[in-house]
Amino acid sequence: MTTANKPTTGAVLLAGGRSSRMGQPKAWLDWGGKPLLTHLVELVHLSCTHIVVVGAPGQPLPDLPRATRVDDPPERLGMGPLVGLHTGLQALAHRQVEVAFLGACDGVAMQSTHVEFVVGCLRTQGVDAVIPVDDAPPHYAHPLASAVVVDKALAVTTKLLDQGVRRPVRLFQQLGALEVPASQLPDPGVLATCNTPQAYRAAYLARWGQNPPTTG
Amino acid sequence: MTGGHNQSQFLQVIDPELAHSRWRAALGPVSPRTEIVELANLRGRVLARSVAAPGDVPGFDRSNVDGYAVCARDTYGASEGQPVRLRLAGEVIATGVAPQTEVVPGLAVTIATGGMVPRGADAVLMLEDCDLETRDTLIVRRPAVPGAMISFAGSDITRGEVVLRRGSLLSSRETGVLAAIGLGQTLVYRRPRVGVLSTGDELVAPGKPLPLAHVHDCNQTVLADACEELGCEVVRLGIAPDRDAALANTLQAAIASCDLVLLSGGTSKGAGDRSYRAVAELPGPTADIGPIIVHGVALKPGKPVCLAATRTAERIVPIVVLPGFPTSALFTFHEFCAPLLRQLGGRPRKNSAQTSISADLAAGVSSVRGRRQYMLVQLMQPTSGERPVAQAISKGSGSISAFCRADGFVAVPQQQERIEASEAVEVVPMGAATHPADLVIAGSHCTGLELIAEYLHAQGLRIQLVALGSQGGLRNAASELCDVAPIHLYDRQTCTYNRTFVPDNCRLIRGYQRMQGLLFRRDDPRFSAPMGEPTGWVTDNLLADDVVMVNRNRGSGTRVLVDELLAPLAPKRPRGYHHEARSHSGVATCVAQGRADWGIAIATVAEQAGLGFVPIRSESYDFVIPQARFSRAAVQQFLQALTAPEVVEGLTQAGFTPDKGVLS
Repeated sequence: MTTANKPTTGAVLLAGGRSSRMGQPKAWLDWGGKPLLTHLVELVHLSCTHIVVVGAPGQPLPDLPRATRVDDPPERLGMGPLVGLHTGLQALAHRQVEVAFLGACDGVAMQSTHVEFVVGCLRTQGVDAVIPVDDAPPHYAHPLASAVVVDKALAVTTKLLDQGVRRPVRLFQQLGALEVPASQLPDPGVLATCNTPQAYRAAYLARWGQNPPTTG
Repeated sequence: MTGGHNQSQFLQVIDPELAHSRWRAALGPVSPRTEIVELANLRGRVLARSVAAPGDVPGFDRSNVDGYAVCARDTYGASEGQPVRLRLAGEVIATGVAPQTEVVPGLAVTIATGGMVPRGADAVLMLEDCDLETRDTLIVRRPAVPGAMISFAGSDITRGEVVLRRGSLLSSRETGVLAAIGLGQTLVYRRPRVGVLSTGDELVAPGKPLPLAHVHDCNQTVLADACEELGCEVVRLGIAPDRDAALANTLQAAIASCDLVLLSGGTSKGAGDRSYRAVAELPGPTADIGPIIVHGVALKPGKPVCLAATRTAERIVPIVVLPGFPTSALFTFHEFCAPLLRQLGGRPRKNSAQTSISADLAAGVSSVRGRRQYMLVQLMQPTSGERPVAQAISKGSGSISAFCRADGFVAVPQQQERIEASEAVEVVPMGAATHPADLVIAGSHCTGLELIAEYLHAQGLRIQLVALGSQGGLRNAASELCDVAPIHLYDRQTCTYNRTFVPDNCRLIRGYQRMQGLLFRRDDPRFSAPMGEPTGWVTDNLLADDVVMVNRNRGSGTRVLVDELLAPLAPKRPRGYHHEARSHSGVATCVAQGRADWGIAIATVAEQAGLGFVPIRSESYDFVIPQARFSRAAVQQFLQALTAPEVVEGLTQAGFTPDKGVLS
């Protein structure tokens, strides 16, 4: 009964950002001896069968045996995360994946339980999208820790890009996303991302109890 | 109980975190509801919005003393030698009235504590610092600075100041503030409504007589009260009727009116099944998902917990079937239900890291790999060092006393199979007990010991009694894991009690003599006939098929005595030899209920149970105390208690012969 009608679940992980504030490619950051992106793929794989990692053409990424790599079209490079989500959703729709977790390659605190939770909400609450929002004003939304129904999200994303919209939040507004306050997530800490060397060092220390190995 | 149903649904056991995620996803975001509540009913509620003061507190410049309102400048230079004289106005400013007089230079007005400082005055002189010369002349002997003895308007709370934030739990302190700013009512979160239902054919409501083979239903009380402690309104639904249809009706009614429905299975096989089946019949949260979201979680205790959700016309209602054993029920309640109830009631998440206590584990423990194990512990003051010592309480999940006695618990991670002695552990405190007991007594249990403990408790000592048997007590004393180890062990070689067993690092303190003997039902002619010598009944008759004994647990002093008495019959053993009661009164109950015909225990319990008693041997019940802990204040208090007249008298009345704490 618990597994009946479970839809095919996938994930889109965005890895194509420029990592300009970090100063080095975020996908390759060491995370306990392996690249951060590899860690994330393994973690998401616990809950999702089809994983698409979206990169930029020519961008070196770690070998990812459990994921499919897809690149953003060159003509849309640098146009932001909505493009990446579109690329990823397209790839998932192609494989008849019904629902998907949307994440990023810098989710240092991501947990498989969070993926289960947002994807589970989608199913049980009968909505097309689920997105965590901060409890405190201005109630910032976290599109890259969310879940969507793939065909619905793909249709809206296509339309938004045609209209020149770049902000992922609009996708969730159009889908009438269920907003889950961060305090009600299984672990609100998962929303932490890491954009700067300082944030990375702090996250590494918190997780592994030591400083990250220094890189060239 | 329906025989055909096995426990085949059991169980697809998953990680607690995953269980949490799946269940909470099925429930969707939880939004606490709010209501306006009158001030008189606000205590214990949680504020749903921050409260700002509508006006100043105090609302006017207020005198802090009985005295005279003056212009401070008029008093400058005043002293005993050179007092200043002021004219005294006729008005006396009492509390609760607006003053009429304006204070001008040279004038003073009498004012009461809490009175409103009049226009023109900027200080109040204390009555004691002035004298009346005539009815209208005041002699001032001390100067005052501007502002002296005045609380200015808004000096306590300024208008617009946020006095309490959203999410504050209102105790008398907070309600006092709300009253002070004049709020007659305010917006708080609604108390979550929880229905609590027990199932199990063996359950009897507390307060009703207990037929044989039944137990009192304690889960209902434990769970309902745990909910109330979290600020919930509880609907106690009692014990579910035997018929499945009636159970379904009760469940439906609860779902219609409650925010959470808790069922707890009895301990009988099938009770949990029945609850599970009743829940499984309900509609799930959506059309294509069943109501059972999780059945089986990698927790010990608590594996069979069932997390469910059903949909009514307007909302999704969570349902949890908790295991029947009280300890399992409570742990799973705190794992899954308490966080939900906190959110429903607008309370903040509990952060166990903020409250946990670091301790050293007393003795190594093994855990089950693959399940997160909760281990109940008692805390003890360390012999040396600063961190308290945590001692695991080894009782099954059926034990309610373990939960009551524990100071907290340690969560052993799933991957960990063992924690070694003196390894650091984090103890999550439970209940009010947040500091270690003053005195830990571990070893043989005796009703006489309870008398001593009761006396010390009345003196304000926090005592922990752990029944480990004489030999367990000796081991703990040797490792300095207790302050006092009561023992009664007979050494056949020296024909003495206890002395020869004392570890090198311990001392022996004489306790009291107690009479061990044979217990039997008074109407059982086989034992009540005269038997001559006290041990004359140890004959082949005891080996007869229709004579059943109850033994004591290995490690207890009484077991040593039993084995010694039965030695002449070896290698044959009476029927029931392997049935081990864990206490003197356990033996008495067993005999009284006819499950056994005889056993060995002390005279006191025989008398309490109305049993016949043949004295066998007076034995010494003494106390082993680790040298390293001897000088502790609590240990010294214990020693003094042994000679206290109340204790000596109490022991004597109960049939013991006190040795008055002589050092052996």
